[in-house]
Amino acid sequence: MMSTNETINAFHADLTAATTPEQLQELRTRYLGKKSYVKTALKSLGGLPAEERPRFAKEINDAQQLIERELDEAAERVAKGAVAKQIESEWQDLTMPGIAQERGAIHPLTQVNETCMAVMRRLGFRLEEGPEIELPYYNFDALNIPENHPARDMQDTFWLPGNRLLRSHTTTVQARVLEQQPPLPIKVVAAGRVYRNEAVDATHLAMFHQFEGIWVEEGLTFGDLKGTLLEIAKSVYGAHHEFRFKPKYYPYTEPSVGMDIQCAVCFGKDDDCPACRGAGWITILGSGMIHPKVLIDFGYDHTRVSGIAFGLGTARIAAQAAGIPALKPLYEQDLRVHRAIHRGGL
Amino acid sequence: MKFLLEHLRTFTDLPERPHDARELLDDVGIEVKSSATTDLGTIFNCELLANRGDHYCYEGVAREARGRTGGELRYPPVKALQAQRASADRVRVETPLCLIYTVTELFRGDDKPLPADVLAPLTAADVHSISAPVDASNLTNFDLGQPTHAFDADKVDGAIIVRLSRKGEKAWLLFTPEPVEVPERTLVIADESKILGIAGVIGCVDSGITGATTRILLESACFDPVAVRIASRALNQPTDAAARFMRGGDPTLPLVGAGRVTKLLEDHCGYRVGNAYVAGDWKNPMRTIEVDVARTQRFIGANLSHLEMAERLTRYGFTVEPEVNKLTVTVPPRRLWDVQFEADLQEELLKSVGYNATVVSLPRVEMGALPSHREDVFARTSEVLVAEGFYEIFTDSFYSRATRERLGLREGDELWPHVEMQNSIERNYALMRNNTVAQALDALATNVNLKTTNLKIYEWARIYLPDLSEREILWMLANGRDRGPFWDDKGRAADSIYLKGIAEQLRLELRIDLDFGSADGHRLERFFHPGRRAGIRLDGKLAGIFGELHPTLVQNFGIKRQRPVYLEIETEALLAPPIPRTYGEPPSRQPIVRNVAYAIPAGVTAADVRNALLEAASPFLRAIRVTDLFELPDARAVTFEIEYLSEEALTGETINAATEAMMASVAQRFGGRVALRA
Repeated sequence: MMSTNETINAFHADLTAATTPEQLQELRTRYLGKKSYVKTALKSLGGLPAEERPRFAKEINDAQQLIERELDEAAERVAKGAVAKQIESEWQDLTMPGIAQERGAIHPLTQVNETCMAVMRRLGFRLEEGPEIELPYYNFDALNIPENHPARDMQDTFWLPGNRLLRSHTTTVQARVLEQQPPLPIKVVAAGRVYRNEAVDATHLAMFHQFEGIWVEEGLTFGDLKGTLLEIAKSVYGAHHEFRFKPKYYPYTEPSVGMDIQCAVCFGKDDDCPACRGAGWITILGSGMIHPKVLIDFGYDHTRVSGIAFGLGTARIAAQAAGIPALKPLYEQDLRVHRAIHRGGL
Repeated sequence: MKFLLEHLRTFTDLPERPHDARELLDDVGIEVKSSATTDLGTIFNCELLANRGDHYCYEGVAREARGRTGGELRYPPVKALQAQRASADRVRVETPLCLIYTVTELFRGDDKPLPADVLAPLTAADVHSISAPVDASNLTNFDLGQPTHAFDADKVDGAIIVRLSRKGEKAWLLFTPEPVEVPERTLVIADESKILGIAGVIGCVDSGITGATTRILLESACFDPVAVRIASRALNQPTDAAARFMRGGDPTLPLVGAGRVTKLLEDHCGYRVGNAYVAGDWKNPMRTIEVDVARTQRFIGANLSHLEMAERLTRYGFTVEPEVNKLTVTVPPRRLWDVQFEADLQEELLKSVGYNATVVSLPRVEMGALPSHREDVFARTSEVLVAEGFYEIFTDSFYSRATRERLGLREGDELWPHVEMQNSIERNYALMRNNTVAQALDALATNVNLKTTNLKIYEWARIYLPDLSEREILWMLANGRDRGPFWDDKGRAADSIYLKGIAEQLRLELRIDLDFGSADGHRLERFFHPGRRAGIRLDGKLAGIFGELHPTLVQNFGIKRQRPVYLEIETEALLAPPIPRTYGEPPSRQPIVRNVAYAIPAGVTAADVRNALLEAASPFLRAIRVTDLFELPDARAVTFEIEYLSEEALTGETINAATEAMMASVAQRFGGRVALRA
């Protein structure tokens, strides 16, 4: 059996050679484990003469502490060295493109719809659905557009078998709601596809989207109509814009109102402005008070109950928001167009 | 309609600056779409309200402006005609669809045209000069909104008769190549032997004036708007006169109009006037409307007194008897067509005050509303798809007959019948779609042609069934790679399994019990690769389908070397009530896992083997997952990871016994066909 000094010398020689955590662990077992000199020497204490035991016990304890301390220090040193080596070997070129699933996008029309719905929900409106294949009654007659009325020329209609048609406006949904005579107030929004039998070009589409609402209650005023429209328009376009109202004609409203936004290109200062053609304003929605005849036809007392109706061309709003000069790209299937709409500028 | 601003100023005073005049007109409902400065002066191109026939002239526009300004309304000079009641051998009105009919005899003068300055309003509107009588007629329509028509008196056989056409009658309309049959019961002007013109629409060749005409019978009348509209549309003659009459004419205006034409021809062209005759039984109904003053003040948001209201309404030609609480308003004949309610008069007051000059308010709102379940489902579904890289698109609801052919459909097929458009002006709108596969493939073809082969798109769509019902669906198409490709990760093919993964994500997100199985019986089944399609079920009912589109179908759309996958599910299934959430606290112990691998031959699915394992499941089985697939020459090697979990300590012997029991179940079910792999 080696002496304590010989054991320590041997330990130091072994420790100098150890460079990995595994080698250090092996030294810990060899010099501090069950069969190590330290453990064996401690077990032999009982066989020593009483006067030698304290000295020898101290000698062994000192040796054990030295070995433990130096092993711990070496372990820390080796760990640091290993991390440093790992770091040195793991340099990554972060100029390479990132890797993650690229998000797609909901359609700009859906985005506009959701924005408008968020505003309408604040005012207590709910969304209603209706069929696209409609009876002429809901598309025309119920909305004060009898057969041979000039307003029927305003909407070239797709006719289907069985005296049906493709709805030319989402106002059909309003007619269906009013027909049911739900309790007042009625606050309903209808959104979706509408159809016009037109040749497709840069400014005309056979299918596009509308967003409409009605609010029927006792005592609604023209001021309420304007206030509601402003609330919607400012939420969609931003409160810093200038808006104006002007007389229009829609068969199912009286008075009928158009709402314009000030031209963001010329602000009304250029008579040759290509965006507004010198008007200084661009129409963004049509609206009005529900026509007394419509209210009467659905069983309401028009001297007591009044209604606000409005409709937005979501395609136009979406195009303006995306900076698209025409509506057609919104209905393109070319994914590059959609990426340009959503990621343009990034 | 184009208006010459300088001419408009002769009718009423307008702001000096054209820009300000334009703003005024916009503000009173005469929308100036564009403005041009020309040698003639400033020309406003206006969009007029579709219900206001009286706006289709200078006088009407001036009256509207005057409603705001309160200024003077000036009229052009008119010859005062003394008309006598027509005898039956001169003019007969045989239908109430003609309200009033006048004929004025004019004798030709010299051949001088109207002076250029007089013609300026026509020139500004791009109306070319034809002859003095025609120009005078056009000018009168422009100035006063009264269409007139000149017949050659020598071509009229006996009396002028306003009547309905008879079956088989023909007329040779001006500016058309040959006579056409006039629909029965069309309102026409005729003589004893032929049709002279279509009332309020257009004259006929064989009664028209020419250079040889010496005596003119000038028609000036007012016809029923609907009758004119029906005739105009039936004969495809959208003339200026028809545009005016179909919006409602002024029954008091015909003699004034005739007087204006006469004045122009007398003053400038040496014409002489003869007798004037009038026929027709129209009587002014003197419609009155009561306006509640307080209610109107509250509604329009302007504190106008009853007297001020009355004064403003008179600017528009209404006669008003004002009282403190109410106005009794008599509607002028020109407005009988559009003014019927108190609201119509409130609109006039609002235009007079200005839509932008009244108060803005917002009614008190008690409470907002939350998104509906439907809106919530749409939003969450879209979020799942968008996070996976899908783009939402909108495709047309219709397609051409050629598209139906490309779908490989034949008469007798379930999908052959479509809702057919009756009057589409483009062949691409011929059929309402009864599926969205065609549009999905068209979209893919568009992108592949542009070298975009990695494509993920979806649409919330409707399909239209032959019984005229509609069905809402969600469809999606993926092509190319499921992700990326990135510089060190090329992804895997976006295949049927990928779409199944999407459907599983929707199941989790929406908490609906979607299940996958056979697609047999789905109406789109034929569009898919027979070995790579599956049905989506909800409560056992087939609610959707997914898989790889059939290679032949893909080729039919001109797409080469692509393997697109398509999924369609009915919106109704997505809107199913969500399964309630339940919470079970997970055991605190770590799970114990065993792996077993089987060689599965053709005809047996991984789900079959999994089900066999489950048949012998122990109480502490937590999950069975497929963790690997390896294609062998004659089978597929599928590795199942079996996870055990319990609050109690499980020994190795217990776990091994449980696993062996499950393996025994597989052996019993399949015998040697499904072999355990080492």
